[in-house]
Amino acid sequence: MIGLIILAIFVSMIILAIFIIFNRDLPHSVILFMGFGLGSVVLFFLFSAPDVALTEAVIGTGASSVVLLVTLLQVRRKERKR
Amino acid sequence: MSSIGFIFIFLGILFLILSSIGLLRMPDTLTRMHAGTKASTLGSLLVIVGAIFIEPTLWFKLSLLGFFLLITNPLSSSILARSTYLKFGFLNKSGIDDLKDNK
Amino acid sequence: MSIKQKISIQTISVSFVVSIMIIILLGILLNFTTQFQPTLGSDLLAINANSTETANAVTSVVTYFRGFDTLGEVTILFLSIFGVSLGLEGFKEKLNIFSYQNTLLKIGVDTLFPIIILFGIYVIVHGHLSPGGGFQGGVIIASGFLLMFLAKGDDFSINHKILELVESLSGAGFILIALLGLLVTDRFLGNFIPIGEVGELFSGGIIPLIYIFVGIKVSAEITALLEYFIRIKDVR
Repeated sequence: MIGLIILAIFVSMIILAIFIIFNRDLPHSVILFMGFGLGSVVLFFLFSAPDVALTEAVIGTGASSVVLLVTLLQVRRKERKR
Repeated sequence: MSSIGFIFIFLGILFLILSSIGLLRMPDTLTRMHAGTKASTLGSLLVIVGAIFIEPTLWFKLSLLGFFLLITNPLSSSILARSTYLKFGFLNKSGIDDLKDNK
Repeated sequence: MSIKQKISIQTISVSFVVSIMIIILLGILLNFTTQFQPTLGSDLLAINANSTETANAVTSVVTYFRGFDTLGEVTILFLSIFGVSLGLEGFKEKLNIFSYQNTLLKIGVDTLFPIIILFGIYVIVHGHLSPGGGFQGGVIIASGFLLMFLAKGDDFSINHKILELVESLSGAGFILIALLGLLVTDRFLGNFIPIGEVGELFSGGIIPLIYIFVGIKVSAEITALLEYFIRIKDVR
């Protein structure tokens, strides 16, 4: 049962990663990246590493996304069309 | 005792599912926010109450968690609504605009 | 080859890789059980039960058995913050880029900020009893300061001199404790404080002290980093 839950989180994280890479709107990518971090938090917890889960919950969904969003505010919003 | 807790958790999960359905189905930003924040606040609080019923020794930490949810969730929904108003302007059809003066 | 063909080939290859990964993961995870074979972890637990006696075995690995590696990690964090501050110091205009003023937000953040700081201190101090520790608690305290930066605008600012002083003093405290261990016992980061009862707050020898110093250092560093990122303007 727990294997199925872990499998579902893994698959959704892979799909999220593909969306993050192929998204043209960069702030949307950052928001999806926060979701990716949330999935990895649940995975760390299920693999019985709550220390790493706590760190990832604060850094991956809080601090790093704020740093990325501030950097995007400084630079530009859209990815350039190829 | 624990069966009451499971009933509370079931109700909470029901509210969370309803809020996510509303988040997907609603037409514009403010109604989506309405579904996404209020119903999910109630759902999380019900889950916490159910957890208190299942594990009564943890009541202090869990009620602290509920207090934290009660502070943060309405605050963030208010900030979201205000920034939506500042960005997209006046969305209401009733003609009453309370935020007109303090933009 | 046109752009459309290229994109479709990319999509096909990506979906192929994803399906292979899903099949492998399905094979692994459907056989996943929580009872692992006894390996290095059980040995470490046995040593931990005899020597340091902390309730959280991860903490004793991080700060006692591999304490020198923790010193290296803290140094890496310090060097990264040093590089960021060196690169961003030259830009003149230092205003908070979040100039959004709201009374409700300010009052709510005033209520939340002490709770977050208290939770961070709890996580740091109870690092040898429960999951968490210096790095986690330090980052939680830094996120509290980030909330203040976001909500208060220019009303809230932190003196960089004080941050640097706190950070360097805590780093010096870490090394001082390690050198005291070298003097009193026979090894760097040796334990020279008596170990109390397992599960109490004042137990575990030097492990809580080291984690407190690491927590202060990490919180000061991450706060300085976030402050640099909030206050820069016109970099392009």
